[in-house]
Amino acid sequence: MTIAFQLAVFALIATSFLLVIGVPVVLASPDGWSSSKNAVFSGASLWIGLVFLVGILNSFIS
Amino acid sequence: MNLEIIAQLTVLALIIASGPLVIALLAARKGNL
Repeated sequence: MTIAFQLAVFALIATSFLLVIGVPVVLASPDGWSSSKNAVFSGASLWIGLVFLVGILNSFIS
Repeated sequence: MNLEIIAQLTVLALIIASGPLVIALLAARKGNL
């Protein structure tokens, strides 16, 4: 269970880093929002899911 | 050689470099700077 928690935390950190870089680039790129809207929404949804997953897995480790 | 210090400095470098990286990416894509 600990390895799953650690993997979830690593995935959350990696997703956060990608979003920190990617969201401002998409928003300020010419015609970027309309072409990358789905990627931003998917990344944000994944991030929210990982936050709750880490919170839930945290309850199962010592 | 302390691997933990190396890892911490590497992650710190990534975080510090992320700001200028956004500027560089936008400049390369001719974005709205």
